[in-house]
Amino acid sequence: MVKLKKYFKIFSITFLNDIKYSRNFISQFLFFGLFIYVFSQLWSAVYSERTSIEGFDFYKMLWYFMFTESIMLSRPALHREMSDAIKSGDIVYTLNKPYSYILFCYSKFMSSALVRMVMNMFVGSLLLFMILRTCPLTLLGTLRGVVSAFLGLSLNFLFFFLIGLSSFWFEDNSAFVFIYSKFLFTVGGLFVPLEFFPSWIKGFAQILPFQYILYAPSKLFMSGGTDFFEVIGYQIINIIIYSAIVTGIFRYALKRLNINGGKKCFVLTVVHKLRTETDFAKTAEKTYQRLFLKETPRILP
Amino acid sequence: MSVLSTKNLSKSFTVKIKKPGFKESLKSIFSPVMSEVNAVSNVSFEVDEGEAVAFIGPNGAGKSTTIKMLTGILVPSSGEISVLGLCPYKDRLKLSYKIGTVFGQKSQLWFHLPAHDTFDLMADIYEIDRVEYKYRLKKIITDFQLDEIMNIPVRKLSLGQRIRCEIAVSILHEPKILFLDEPTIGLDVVVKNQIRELIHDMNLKTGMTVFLTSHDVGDIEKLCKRILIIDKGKVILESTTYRLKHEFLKKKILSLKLDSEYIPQMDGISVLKSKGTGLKLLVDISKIQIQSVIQDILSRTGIQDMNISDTPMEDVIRKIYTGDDSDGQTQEVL
Repeated sequence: MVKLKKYFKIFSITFLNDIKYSRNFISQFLFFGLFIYVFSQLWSAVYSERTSIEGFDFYKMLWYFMFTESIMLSRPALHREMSDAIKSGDIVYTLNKPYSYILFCYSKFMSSALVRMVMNMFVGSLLLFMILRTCPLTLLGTLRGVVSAFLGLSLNFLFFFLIGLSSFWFEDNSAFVFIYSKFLFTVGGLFVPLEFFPSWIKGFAQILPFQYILYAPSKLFMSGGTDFFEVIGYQIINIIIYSAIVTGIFRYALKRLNINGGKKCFVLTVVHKLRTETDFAKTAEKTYQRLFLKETPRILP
Repeated sequence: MSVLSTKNLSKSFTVKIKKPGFKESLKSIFSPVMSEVNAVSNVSFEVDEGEAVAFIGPNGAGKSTTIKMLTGILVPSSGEISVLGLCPYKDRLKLSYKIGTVFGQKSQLWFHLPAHDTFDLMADIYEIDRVEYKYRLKKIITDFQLDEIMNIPVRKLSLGQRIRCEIAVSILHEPKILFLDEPTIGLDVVVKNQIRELIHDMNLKTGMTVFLTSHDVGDIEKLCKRILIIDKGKVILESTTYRLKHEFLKKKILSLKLDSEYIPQMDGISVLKSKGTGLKLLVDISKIQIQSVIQDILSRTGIQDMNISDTPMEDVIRKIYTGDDSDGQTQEVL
């Protein structure tokens, strides 16, 4: 329990950090409300000439979309944070503490993501209820949906952590985030439920893990919790598989720390800058002032 | 008793070499040229319990790489390493409870929150008992004079206040060894002195071993009794601070105020400054005794005031870094 306490503490201090600037914190949810409102108008145009698509009427569709977006927009920029830490060498200073680095990142990620997700759902539900005057939620379905969304976020964390680890090999991991996001947009069921897709895409989506991040939890909210145990069973299996993959790659990636950190990091930064800037003296001076203040830049032999 | 030892410790890695220009960029994609860099090469040393050792060297000498291997973050390419009887890279977690680290250029404090929150977090991370934590925190706040800044967000603290908090939080779990990587960088002289006093007191009172890297000679002189100098990945000199300062260059500075103008002409003397009756000489005591110089001056004129001092430590270290051993004394100390 003492071992776990430190991760709860990281969870709570991240929350304190997130709410430090209350206006920023609140504005995220106002943006989310606006976002849902805009899409409600868009979907009303789609449903103007039909009442149902693959069993989803206008109301059901909007609620489904609100849940998937609540989960999708809750995730913090872990990949960017990791990428910055790896490239600058700062990661070594978080590694020398008596905790698991993966669980440290997980606690931080889940703290930000859970709070944002719950707030998104609250604001989104309130808005949809005001617009539609109907609510498909039941107490059991909501509870089961929250459990499944928690597991979905955990799976989401593992993918973002993997993308973050890619910084050990690639300078810029934004391409991976872009690709991953597109998977979530489509076979993850972000914009439309998997039922909308042709059967071959649906079959393809069902063997991939992405549906367990957005589609499956959102469906549980909608259905009142039917198939709950089947869904969380698949989610847990996926979490176990990807946790093993993440742990293996992380251990291997630690060896890549050889090239990042200390003065080597400085040298690499200069070399990296040289790729995009031609004035060496200016680049070296700027970089050394930023990183080492008084030290003289020196390229290793 | 040795708490930290390395034997033939080496670390090498490969870096991609690329010349500037578009053509070279394309070329490096298809046929990258790699170069092996020996960041640390056959480094051997030992540090005893309670010692304060300076580990210094020019930029890129391998100091940070060595510290990262000692704290278990990097895996050595070859050689042996032991910290408090543990192998750092194999027992990183176990070791992290027993060591503390302060990196002047990095921060472990949560930037937007008061320092108190980071102390609370570290108490849980290091699994410190709640009652014990309160006792330690009270003592640390008093020793480091933190009572007025503990509840201010870290981003609003001055650099000196932040570094005080950094050091304080890194000793909260009472580490047996404290690794300090340029703890006084960017600080003004008054704050630098405060930080040095704090570290010195901790070393004396608690017997905590201090392993320091710094470019500031003042840090080394104030805190460390022993110096290890590393360059190009190799330990090039190991000496006590006293010996390095007083004996390495074998030169003394003789400042005089004479009755009348006179400049002695003797082998082993060079004039640093001469203005009227004021005279500053650099005396090579391996060639001539101070006493002989004074006797020569007194035979010609009277001395109103006199001061004998060592050459500044900074000069000594500069000479070692630049490899200027024209006096043939580097080998002698080694």
